Amino acid sequence: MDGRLILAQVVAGVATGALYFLVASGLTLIWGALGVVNLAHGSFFMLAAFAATTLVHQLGPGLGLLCALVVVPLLVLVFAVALETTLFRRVYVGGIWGQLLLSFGLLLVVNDLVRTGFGAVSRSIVAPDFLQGFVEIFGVRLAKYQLAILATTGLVALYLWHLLARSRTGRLIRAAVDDPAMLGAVGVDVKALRTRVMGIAAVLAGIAGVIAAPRGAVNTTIDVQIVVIAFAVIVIGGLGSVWGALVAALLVGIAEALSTLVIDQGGEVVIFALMALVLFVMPTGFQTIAGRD
Amino acid sequence: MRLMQRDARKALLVLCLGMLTATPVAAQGEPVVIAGTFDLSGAAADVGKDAFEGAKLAIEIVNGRGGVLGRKLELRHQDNGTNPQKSVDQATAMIRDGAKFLMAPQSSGSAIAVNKAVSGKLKIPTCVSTSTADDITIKDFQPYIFTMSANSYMESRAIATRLAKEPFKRYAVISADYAGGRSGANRFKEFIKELNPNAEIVVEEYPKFGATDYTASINKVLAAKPDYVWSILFGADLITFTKQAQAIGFFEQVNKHFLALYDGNTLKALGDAAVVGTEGWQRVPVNIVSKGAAEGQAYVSGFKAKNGVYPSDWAGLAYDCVMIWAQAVEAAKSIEPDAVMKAIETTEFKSVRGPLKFGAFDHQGEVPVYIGKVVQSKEFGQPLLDIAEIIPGSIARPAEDVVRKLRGN
Repeated sequence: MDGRLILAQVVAGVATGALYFLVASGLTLIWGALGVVNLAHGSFFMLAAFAATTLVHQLGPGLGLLCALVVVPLLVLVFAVALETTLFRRVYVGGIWGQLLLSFGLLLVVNDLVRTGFGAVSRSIVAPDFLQGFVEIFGVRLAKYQLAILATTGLVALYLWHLLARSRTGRLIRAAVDDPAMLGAVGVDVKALRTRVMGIAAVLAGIAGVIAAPRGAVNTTIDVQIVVIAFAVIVIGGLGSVWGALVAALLVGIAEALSTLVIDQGGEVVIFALMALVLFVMPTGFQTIAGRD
Repeated sequence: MRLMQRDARKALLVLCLGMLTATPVAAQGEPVVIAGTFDLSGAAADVGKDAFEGAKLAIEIVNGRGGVLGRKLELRHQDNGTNPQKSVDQATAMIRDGAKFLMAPQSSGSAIAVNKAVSGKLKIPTCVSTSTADDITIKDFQPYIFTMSANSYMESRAIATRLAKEPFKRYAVISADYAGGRSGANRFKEFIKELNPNAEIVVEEYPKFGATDYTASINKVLAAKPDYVWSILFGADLITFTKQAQAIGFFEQVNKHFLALYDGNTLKALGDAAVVGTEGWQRVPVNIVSKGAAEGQAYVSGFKAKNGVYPSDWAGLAYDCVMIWAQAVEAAKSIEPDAVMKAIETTEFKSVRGPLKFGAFDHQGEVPVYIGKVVQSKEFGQPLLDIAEIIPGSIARPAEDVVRKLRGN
């Protein structure tokens, strides 16, 4: 088998996995700290992508994308916080079915609203000039824009590391992952912490939506497409584990890309086959989270 | 007593006769209901929405001309969410509610389901506007269906006919992984080898429908060093593929020897990212029909006046569905299903793409396939296909003996 092609597929898989991680990290944070399966996480991603296309159409590829990277995640944060304080808060005690029902309902409502507002036809924006084209390393071509996605993912991973390992919020989130009841008993405002986590997750989905927009078509199907993959990633990574999600996202991306060398069929089969395999060997994914398995 | 009974019998007879004569009078004033289960949400929403607009415009125009047989048309529609089961349920309910004509859903899966589970069983004339699935007119054919798109047999045959004249030998095939895509790819492989014995398929790739990243597929295709890349990607998939392929210099590496279903909407969405010089095929290219038959000109100007934008291929196909059915009703002088379908088989219709006939043995519209190169059009303010060749339906369509053989008759 062509060694250069294998290397090219691994590089492509890492780049794809980086985007998966951006979405999955927020989703797994929400599960870990809030115990909530938030299907509407895909809606945050989709809203951000549509908002990015609007800004780029108005301001041009360079300024538009820069503005989108700053403004859109904040707008998504405001939206997510509003949802958390008005709706999600009411279903935490109701268990997983109430949460699933609420987040699935939100997914449908947001999808309908976006379709009404933006239309059903796919939208497309171009990347800024300086991010167009590719670089060639050891004979392998990588789009400059994918490099930008990798760099953004690296920055986000660093931020998450700092947040979780070095900040007070991170300590509280980790404590909430381990034992949310105890956290409340020692006087921590668990409600405010949950709102903060929902906000952080939404910002991550917002960033992912913005940087994904110039890579492909933006339409009302991307919410479900991305959330299905993100769920597979967080299940493989271990529900609630950010670093497990990082490893899983890269693994999923690489497996998808490498699978093209042996089968000619769509990558979804590979994702779920990988998930089944990992769960068969490690039933709680790569990293077990106490109280969440 | 006997007198009273005789009087009652007379009264009953008069009442029955009155009802019999009154019914046609009342029906004549009632609108004829057209049912449509459209893919207004879900994976095929962009196609479904345009098809809906095309159907609405056609009904407005027909009603403006006085309707059919003196009766106005009324469109009753539902959103099926690109879901075959929902499509079947909706279509069944609307037909049982009195619809006389059915617009099939746009996605192939739903159109096939409605063809098999509704149209034939309830004996309702049904038009398939956008699906190219061969099964509809070949394997699963039933006499109440007719189709407005060239099926994948015809499109693949038309494209292979054109490409066989070129010196290309090494072909790559890339399609989304769904039934229609696989069937189209199989047909293309069969025809290109038949028409050019030197041709070989050096790589095949079927990424998932709605994939978010095609880089791995692009790498695989490039590694096989094809002379020509044939693709049946379309819509959002084709937009994403084009952008990601462009980003790593794919089109330059294959000397722009790439062909896909670059319909008007896809090219419009791509805008400046459309790759000038690559090839595509279309079903109802606006730059051709707006300057062709009178019906095409009226359709394009009517759509632009109503919606402020040029119509897509999908709108044109649905528009023709309604217009052809309305002409069939006038030709049959009846809205009864069997009479209408007889007219479909025997009449030459006026369509936006010019004169149109249907095969009596498969009800497949003998529509042309338009093939051309991507250009930026100042006139239309968006990229378009500069149509280089129009392959007539009569050349690309399967002959009756071929259809019967494929059906196993």
